[in-house]
Amino acid sequence: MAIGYYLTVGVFMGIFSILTISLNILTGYAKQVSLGHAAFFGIGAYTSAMLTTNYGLTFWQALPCVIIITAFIGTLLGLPSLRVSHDFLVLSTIGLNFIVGGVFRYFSFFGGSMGIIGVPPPRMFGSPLGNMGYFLLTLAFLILTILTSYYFSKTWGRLAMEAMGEDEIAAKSMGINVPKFKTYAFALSSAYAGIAGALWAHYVGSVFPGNFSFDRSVAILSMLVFGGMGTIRGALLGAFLLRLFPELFRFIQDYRMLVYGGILVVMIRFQPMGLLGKGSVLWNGLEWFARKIRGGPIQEGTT
Amino acid sequence: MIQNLLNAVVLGSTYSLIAIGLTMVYGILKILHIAHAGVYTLGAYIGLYALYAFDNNFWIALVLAMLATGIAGVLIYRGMYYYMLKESRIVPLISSIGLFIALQELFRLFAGPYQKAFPAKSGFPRVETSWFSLTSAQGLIIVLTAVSFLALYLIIGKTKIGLGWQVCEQDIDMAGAMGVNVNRSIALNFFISSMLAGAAGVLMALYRNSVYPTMGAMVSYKAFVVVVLGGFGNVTGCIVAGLLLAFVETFLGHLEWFEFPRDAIAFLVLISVLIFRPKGLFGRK
Amino acid sequence: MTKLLETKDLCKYFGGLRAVDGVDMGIDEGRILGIIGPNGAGKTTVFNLIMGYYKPTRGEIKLNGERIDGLEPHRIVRKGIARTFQIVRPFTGLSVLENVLVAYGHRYYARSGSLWGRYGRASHEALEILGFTGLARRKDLPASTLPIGFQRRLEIARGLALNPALLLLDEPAAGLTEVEIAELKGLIRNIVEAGITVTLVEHRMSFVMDICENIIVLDQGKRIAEGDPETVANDPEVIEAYLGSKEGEDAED
Repeated sequence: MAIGYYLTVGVFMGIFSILTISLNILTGYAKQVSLGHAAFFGIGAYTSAMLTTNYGLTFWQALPCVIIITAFIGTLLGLPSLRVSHDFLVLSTIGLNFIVGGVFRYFSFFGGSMGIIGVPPPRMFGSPLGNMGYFLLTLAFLILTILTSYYFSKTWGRLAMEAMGEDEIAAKSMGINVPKFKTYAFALSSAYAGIAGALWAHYVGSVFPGNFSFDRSVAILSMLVFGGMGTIRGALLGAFLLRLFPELFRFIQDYRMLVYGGILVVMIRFQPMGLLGKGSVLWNGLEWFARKIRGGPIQEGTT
Repeated sequence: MIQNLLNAVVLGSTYSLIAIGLTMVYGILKILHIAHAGVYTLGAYIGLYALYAFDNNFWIALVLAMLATGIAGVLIYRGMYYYMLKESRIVPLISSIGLFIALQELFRLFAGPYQKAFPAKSGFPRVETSWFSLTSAQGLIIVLTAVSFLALYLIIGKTKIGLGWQVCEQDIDMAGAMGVNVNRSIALNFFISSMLAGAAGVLMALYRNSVYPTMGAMVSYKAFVVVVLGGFGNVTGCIVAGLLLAFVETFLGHLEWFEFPRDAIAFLVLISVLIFRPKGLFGRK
Repeated sequence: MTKLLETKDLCKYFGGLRAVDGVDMGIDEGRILGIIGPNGAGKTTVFNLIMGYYKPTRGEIKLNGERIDGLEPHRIVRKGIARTFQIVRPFTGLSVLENVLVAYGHRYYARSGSLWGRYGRASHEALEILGFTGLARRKDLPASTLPIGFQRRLEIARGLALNPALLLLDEPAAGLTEVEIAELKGLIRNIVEAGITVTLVEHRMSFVMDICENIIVLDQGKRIAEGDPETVANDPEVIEAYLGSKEGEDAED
């Protein structure tokens, strides 16, 4: 029993880590603040749930479709970002939660407010995955997400997104096609979120429109801001800690939105780069400490 | 039909009343003040507790709520945005979202998650004709919105305060050099916009006869739609856009075959406007 | 001498304001051209038109005989024109090296598959540019911590990393000390020697007179004179245009 509980916590931690890393691409690199990430998460979950229950695909057959469909819809939903600046983009991403939720709820094609139930667990080696198996599966996906997004952080794609996020006019003068890279950011970010959604749907076994609300989008953004925007380590730490606290201190459960909101205010006010972001107090300290142990020369401000 | 139009005017008035404050703050600081929604709810709750304390006297409740929200607005500026003016724009934006969520939770924790009735009597006359009827709350909303709009129009156009705002809007650094007390000018801007949001909160509480922690969420997202439609920082556009959104909602809400939730309509309108007319319907090109 | 870039009847109106009004000009390959004029003469607007930030109201711009007006800025960059900004715009969250690397990407950004190319491979070339512009020792600093003189060099380094045929410098000397200006002149001459045509907009007459081989004078959006520094400096019309802003000699902006 006890081990089952830890595995469940672990699975959700893994799923939220993937989500936070995916948001990091959009908000950390491309600086497009999104409060609609739960919508992409939900689209992934619904796609996988529908393909496996209504169309008889297996989890593994559905997965490539999930990635393609969420990337495609993410691109579409990202179109407003091509026309509006940061602030107003946030408004339209808030709207995404309601529009996507509204579509799920009001069209019987998506199961309406009854949602979709009986989403089967994935099968591996001929039998459905148990709790331990699912934990390992989530872990494998998390590691894959970390590795691929780490690789991405070393590519021209990320560099162009960072430049574009900081200063669109200067980015254009560097030959960067701004609309193209914004679209990439949305597509990539929502593809990862879609995978997280599929993992979630098959673990919980059902999807309802209310699972992918504005609150959840806020939680994901809080995790990223808490850990440190623009870094994978920050995204991981943020998701880990903010999933852990409510488990450790049960009473937090009731105050969790207050905690998420408070984190957004307090972190941004005093440590805009989060706990482990570039130039944050903690990370600078860790770097200084690491250099001291290695005995290397201490340079100022190396990133 | 006339009844529907009137209902839409009432709804639109509350949207505009909130949106005016958002527009004013956006005009002067270029910050999307999402926490404004929290201020609106704060107004409703203060009004409610004032009713309890002062024998259901609506007017005392209204004045107290406006004062308290005005002060809250100034505190939000001095305690938060003030430190973020030189930061990249993502910084005040994220903290504003955070504050809004935190406020909403605080209301839930202190006042409980349930709807509370708002048992006030304003004494405002009820209008009844053969074509339509206007409840006293509805009439009050229309009249008070018109009055505050007029007052704001005079403040902006005819006083030194308004002139100070306009200079700050053009260029904040320049305004300081020209002898405008920038901090006081912004604080006053926050005071008045928050006061209007507080008033809107009380009026809405009276109209719907209910107060609850998340009442700010939907209404204020719609206020943002109004701000965008109205063309950012444009007070007149704000009123027109508020009415327009309310008409669209009321009209679509009455189509039998159109079952899509009304709340999502506002966002569909918002996103289409952002895509096709990024400067707003009434914005200058 | 071949013209690298030519404009014909170039106009840009903002409402009633004629910021650029019928300018014909040619940029000779391999030389330094200076565009001068009093405040509001339309100098920076000309740059913005060439780079595609504004669409001309009328007229055409040709690079090597090919029309480029109406193209998006990033396409014009790929055609071989780079610019620096009057107010420096480094990517403040990136290090100095990464700032230059961004510019190296322009060859890759055009291809969709390049999204997955690792930028580290261009480090070697980027370091060379940093050496050329005297920034090598500061490569790992966040760009925001550089003093203004070095931020200006970084702007130029990024421009060079785009491997342009034509480099447009918008008031490169603004905000610099005398020593820094002397170094800047050396740097610009080196750039021209390396085979890149340089065109600059400048406020400081002494700087332009010293470094440019050819000068175009704009006033109220119109070209009022052109020629070598000597001719331009003695042109009565130019003197008159500048009379109102005689003290503009040392104006920084």
